[in-house]
Amino acid sequence: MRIGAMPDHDSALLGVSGSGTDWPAGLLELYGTHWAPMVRLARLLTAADAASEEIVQEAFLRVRTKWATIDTPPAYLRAAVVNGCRNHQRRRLLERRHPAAEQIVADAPDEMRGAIAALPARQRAALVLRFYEDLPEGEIAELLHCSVSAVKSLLHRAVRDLRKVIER
Amino acid sequence: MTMSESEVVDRIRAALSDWAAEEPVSQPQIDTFSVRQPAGARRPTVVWLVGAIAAVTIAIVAAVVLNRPSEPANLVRIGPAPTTTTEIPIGHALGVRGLAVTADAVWITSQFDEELYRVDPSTNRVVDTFAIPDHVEGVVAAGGWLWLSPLSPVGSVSTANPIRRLAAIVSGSLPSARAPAVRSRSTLRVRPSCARSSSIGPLDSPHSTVTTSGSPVSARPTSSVSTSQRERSRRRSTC
Repeated sequence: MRIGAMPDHDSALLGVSGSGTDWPAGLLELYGTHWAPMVRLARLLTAADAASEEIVQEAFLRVRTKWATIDTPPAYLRAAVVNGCRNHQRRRLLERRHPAAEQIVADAPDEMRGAIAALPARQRAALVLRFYEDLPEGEIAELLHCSVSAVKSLLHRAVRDLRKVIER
Repeated sequence: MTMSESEVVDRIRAALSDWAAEEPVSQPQIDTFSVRQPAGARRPTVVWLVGAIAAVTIAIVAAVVLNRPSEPANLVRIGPAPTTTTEIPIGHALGVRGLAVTADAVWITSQFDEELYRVDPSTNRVVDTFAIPDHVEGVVAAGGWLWLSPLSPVGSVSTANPIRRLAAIVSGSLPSARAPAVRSRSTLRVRPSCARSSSIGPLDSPHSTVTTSGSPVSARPTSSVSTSQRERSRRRSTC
């Protein structure tokens, strides 16, 4: 469904209307530079779920609705992607469409990727944000809505589990 | 082989970068962005169903709990002067239903916990509690016996079930030394087919019209009931 053809209630929900030409120039620039990195981030956070691009699309739409009020659009966009991935995984668990960890490992092309995919969602999120996005632990804590010590704990457990695979 | 922390982290970074870059990312035109249906609309119907059932269950449980008396019942003793009232807690009883007075005791039946309480008026305390195998509506003392009226119709209870045990409990638990109003020579027996009303009582008393067939209760107060008395009693046992 194109934005221009959205039903009224959806348009009202997201506060968007019209075609892409209505988008602010700064947001179009952000889209050009951050689309691909955010899709890659979403893929890692969701363990290569097919919905990654949809999640990033929604994140951009949310950035657009808040464009006039946000100070740092890239940070807001990243937070929207992380939250979108978390919500998506919750829904997936609720609908029981999430494959079992054993299935994820079996489907992965290599053992290391399978081990990362099989990590609990919060551990994987902390791992990706720390070692792929290179975010400081404080910022990760804000994104994951937890304390810095909780982030450290998540990272410690994730690295410990992955070390077993690496050293095997 | 034990790797250092930095080596492990480097391997993790490399794995993440390889994974992220594995598939090329196509960049769609921004005006083709679509809006997914709100999450609530995609939520499975079964979730709403389970939620509704849970809400109804909680409402029912809350209604039952809120409508139930929350505090133990008290027996209130009022003295000669209007201000001298004494509240006597009756164990876990949640609703005092019946009250009877004998020479040295006040007898209380409870609506909920199927107990008969004996209160000593000299100490204002519950001194004995007897289990009653049915909900009892009221209690009176007459003819040397306590008379209990169960809520369930007596006619639906067989001789092998609670009534006979009730008789045993009452007659066995009130020895004449402690409850002079109870005659130790009496025997309590039940013939349900004759007892159409919802009251039970002493059955071998000379003036009783309710008598029984079947075996005598096992906990008779004394063994002084003679065979000839039983035979006389059986001969009188007509409905």
